[in-house]
Amino acid sequence: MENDNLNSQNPAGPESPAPQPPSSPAAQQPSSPAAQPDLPAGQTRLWLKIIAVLYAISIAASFVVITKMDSARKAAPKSMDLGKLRGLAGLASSKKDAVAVIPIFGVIYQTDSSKIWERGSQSVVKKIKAAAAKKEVKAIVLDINSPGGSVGAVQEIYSAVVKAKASSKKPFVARFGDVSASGGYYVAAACDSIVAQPGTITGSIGVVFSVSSFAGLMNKVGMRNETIKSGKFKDIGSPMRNMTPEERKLLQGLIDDTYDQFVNAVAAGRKMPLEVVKFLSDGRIYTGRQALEAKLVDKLGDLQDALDLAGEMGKIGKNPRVIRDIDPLEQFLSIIDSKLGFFGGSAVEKAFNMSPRLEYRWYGI
Amino acid sequence: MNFISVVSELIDKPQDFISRTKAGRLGGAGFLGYGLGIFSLFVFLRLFSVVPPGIYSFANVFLFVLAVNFFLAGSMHLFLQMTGAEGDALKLFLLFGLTELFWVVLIPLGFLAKLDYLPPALDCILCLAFILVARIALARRLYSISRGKAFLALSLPYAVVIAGFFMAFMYFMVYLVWLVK
Repeated sequence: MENDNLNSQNPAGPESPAPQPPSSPAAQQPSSPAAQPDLPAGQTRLWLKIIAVLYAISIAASFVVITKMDSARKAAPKSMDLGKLRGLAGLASSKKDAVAVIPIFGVIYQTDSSKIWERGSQSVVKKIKAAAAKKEVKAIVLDINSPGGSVGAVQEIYSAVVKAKASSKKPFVARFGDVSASGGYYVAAACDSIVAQPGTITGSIGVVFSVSSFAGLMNKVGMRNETIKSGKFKDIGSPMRNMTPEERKLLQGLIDDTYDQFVNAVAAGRKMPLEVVKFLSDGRIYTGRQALEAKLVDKLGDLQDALDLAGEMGKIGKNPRVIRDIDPLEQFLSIIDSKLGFFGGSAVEKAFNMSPRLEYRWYGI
Repeated sequence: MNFISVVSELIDKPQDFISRTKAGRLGGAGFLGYGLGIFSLFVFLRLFSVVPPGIYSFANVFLFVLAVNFFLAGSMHLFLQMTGAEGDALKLFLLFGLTELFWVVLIPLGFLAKLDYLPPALDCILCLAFILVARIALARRLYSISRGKAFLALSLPYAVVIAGFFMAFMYFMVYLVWLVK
């Protein structure tokens, strides 16, 4: 059948193979290279056998080489492999001493934990822990450009810095950009030193709780909200009605307590008397230069000055090698999420952020 | 018929061998060709630590190459059928298996590459070129077509895959630019 096909489909032309007679294999012999039935075939087989032997030898040699390579890799210190992984994760593979820079930009909130790429307080805490655990990192710079955020999120980062300092004994330097007020300053207070630009807006030490009331508007449009509650304070902060004096008093107690925590944290971190801190903490903002005079910051300078200071504190000198702890995958997913609004998460989060909450935050921006 | 006889006959009298040998008879030799060829490729890749050790790693490479060849043989047969040439797709697939034997050359070349006499990529390209030439030679005999048509039929799936890859790459780059803009 195949031979029939060959004959029927054989194209004309000089390049096409010679036509085959539609007969038995024996009849095809003349069309193939004739008069070489035994010797060339025997020679080819001999060559093939030689190649097979050489192949077997080379395979055996390859196995020896591969086994030696594998055993050498196993015998090597494990840190070498980990170094490769770190290189993939954005941190340098070299073991040279360095200063890690951790950015804290924007409003500080606890974000959706189901999204690993969200840049919430959890993400910052993770980076602080990772940087503190790395042997080659001799000091850590927190590059802060934030007006603060929710109390819980700010305190989580503050706590992570305090714990990392205690466990790793590594110096922390805070560097202020445009704004590092309220919660941004709270986090910086845990650091060993603070470097700010002369024009940086900082301070705003205090707590805020704001809630809008739509009661007047609802009365106008004839809308009424019915709330069934287990206790009289269960719907405290509800925008559907005006706040009662009792609720105001209770909330003021909350504000006073969290304010006290803030002041204590600043006093402990900055090693300043509590009274002095309280005097400075009426919620006002300061420029970097004013904050230096008030001893709320230690030095005026830019990021390079902060890095140099961190290098000196970490005993690796000025102009140190810098590790920017940025996870490329996390960043990429974050960009995609922000562009496409995957899962509608950003809209939900924005709506959630509108709800009343205690905040170490400056609302000037 | 043992493996060496099959290969020697294919080398000595390819036209005769392809015409009269049934696909079933080629089966063992074809798959042994795939096995030896892909094993050599795997050893070469292991020499340069490109793939992890272990039977599962080898199975991965084996199945991948087998799947690629299945796709190539299938698409080539389809193209040739559509253009009027007649042949046996199974036989083509098994003959592809025999051409995979050229990968065995990678082992000695791998040693040369290890000694920095040759770049490893060049070794692979060299073997791939041999394989493609052998496939053209076999396909034109199996389907009784011209060398040019065999070359076209063989290169078409490669061209489609490469074009698809570049289109996807270009789209991805544009998408990335759009993302970071």
